Amino acid sequence: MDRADSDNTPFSPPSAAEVEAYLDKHPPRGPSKSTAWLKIALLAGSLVISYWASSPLAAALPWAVMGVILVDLLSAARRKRLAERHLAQAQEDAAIHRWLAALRCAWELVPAPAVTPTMHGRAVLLIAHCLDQLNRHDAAIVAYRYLIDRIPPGDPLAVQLKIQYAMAQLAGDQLTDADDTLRRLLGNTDALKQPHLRAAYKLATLYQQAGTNHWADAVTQDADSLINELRPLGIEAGFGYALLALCHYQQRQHSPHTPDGTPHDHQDAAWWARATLLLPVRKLVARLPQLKQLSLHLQAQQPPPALTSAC
Amino acid sequence: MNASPSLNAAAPPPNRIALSGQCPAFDHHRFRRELTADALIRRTILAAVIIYFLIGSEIAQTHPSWSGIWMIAVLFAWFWVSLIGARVARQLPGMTALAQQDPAAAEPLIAQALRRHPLPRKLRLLLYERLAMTRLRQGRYTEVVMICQSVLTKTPAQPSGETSGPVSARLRRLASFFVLRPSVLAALRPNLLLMLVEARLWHGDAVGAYFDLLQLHGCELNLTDRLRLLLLQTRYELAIGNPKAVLDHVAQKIRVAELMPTVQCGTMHAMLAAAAYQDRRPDLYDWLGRRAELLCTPAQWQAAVAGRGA
Repeated sequence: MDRADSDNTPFSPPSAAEVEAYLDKHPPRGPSKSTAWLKIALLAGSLVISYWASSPLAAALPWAVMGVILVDLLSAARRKRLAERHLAQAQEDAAIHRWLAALRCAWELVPAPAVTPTMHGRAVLLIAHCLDQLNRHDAAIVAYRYLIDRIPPGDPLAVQLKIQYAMAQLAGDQLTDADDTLRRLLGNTDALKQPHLRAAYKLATLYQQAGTNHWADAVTQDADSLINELRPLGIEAGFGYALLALCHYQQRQHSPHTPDGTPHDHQDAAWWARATLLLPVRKLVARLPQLKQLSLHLQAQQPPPALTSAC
Repeated sequence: MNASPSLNAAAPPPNRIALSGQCPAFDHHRFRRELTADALIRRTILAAVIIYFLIGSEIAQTHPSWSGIWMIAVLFAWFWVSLIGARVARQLPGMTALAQQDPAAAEPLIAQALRRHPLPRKLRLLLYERLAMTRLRQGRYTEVVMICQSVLTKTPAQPSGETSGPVSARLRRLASFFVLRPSVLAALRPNLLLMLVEARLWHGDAVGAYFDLLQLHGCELNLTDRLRLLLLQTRYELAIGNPKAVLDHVAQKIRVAELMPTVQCGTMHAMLAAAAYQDRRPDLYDWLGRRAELLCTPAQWQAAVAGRGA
């Protein structure tokens, strides 16, 4: 678990089969009950010996046992603290988009004995997220599935995970499975009232509509309500705006006129401008390769010269 | 750094009876009394152990049953003290989450935990830190300042990165193995200082905020704390009317702001836009303003520009 040493050896993102085998091999472990009982039995035993024997050595025995137990507890606490620090480091790496470093750190933490079940879950979630960002969608799907199977279905985290799972399925071209996941999610009406979950669900729906050529379904909603709905995603809302631009563009290409005979207005340019205001084109295309064609036809928003010269 | 008399004067009377389930208004003297009582109980138990070692064998020869009773009593006391601490420590993560999301629900839990004696010093200070978080969410800024100042007097400054040699490094490692407290307490400092800066900015105390910001720049901060620091420093610079400082390294600040949660990210953009407007840079103002509109609601936009955003 020593990052300094492990940084020297090469590491590549694991495949789906490797993730599955690894997680099966290293399940979460709770604190050992037998070890706790053994400590209590040792202490009780030493007390009995001390009570019946009258030598000074016997009198000191319970204190010696207590000292050993204390050192063991301190050592366990230190190991746990170290594992927590590594996990926090991995989460920071992920926050600053150092996906491979974060993945590696989380991957190495999973089998560590000091890792509690909660930390194990957080490490697997990080692995899934990093794999998704590194475009290893099949492997990410396995990690998400592992977590979904172990979280109560009504938990808001389960809903969040299922949305990310559906996004990974869509990115991995598992369109039928993704459709099934999204349909099942509709049942969680209470959880989907939370703005960030509703926003994530909307993004997944847009991804599905753009990927399955249901452009007409995506372009019918009012722009202001869409902006409000996607706003909780922050900068990531740019992906939603880009998908809306794609849907408007494709709709215009395939049917140049609306049902009442008037030509489509250039909503695609407006959505593309919003998307590129939040995210650079290279980031949009790297995450959603289907936008490459669109980026050649529409003009992106450029940051002011003060920012471009500083970059 | 003691609690300032002016702030003590502005606070509600400390001896007023707290409503059931609520923490009483913070009082620095009561805080010190609680820490002293905790330390006294724990040291009494330790003294009993040491006395047992010193004269226990002599007593065992004359009165063997007394020796056994003494040992069992000391063990029981140790177990009781550990149990109280363990129970409160188990509640801490829940309190943290509640203090952020639902301060009204967090307060009874904190009040109940603070009433327990004896608590390890570290744990009591952590509870007071959670109380400060709750008060910050409740908008009781005077009390936040008092709590943070009092707890800060009991937390050691973070160790600098300098090493004076391999022997001292080894000694520090050994100390960190046996003594968990200093590092845990030192880690409290950044959050306390950040809360202090925020409360002072709400009070319009820019001078106090300046000195706390200065201390924060000397602390070792994690990513979340660095993001909070950037947000608060920007608010401070806007409050003192220094838009040029706000726009210093603006490209880098925008990249860092993009790592913040949505509302904070939008607030940061709105504050940068306000600074660009004050500094008469229309192109930058326009670009930042349009981004801010996409990231935060008009109400959040207005609050941020008015200096109430962090």
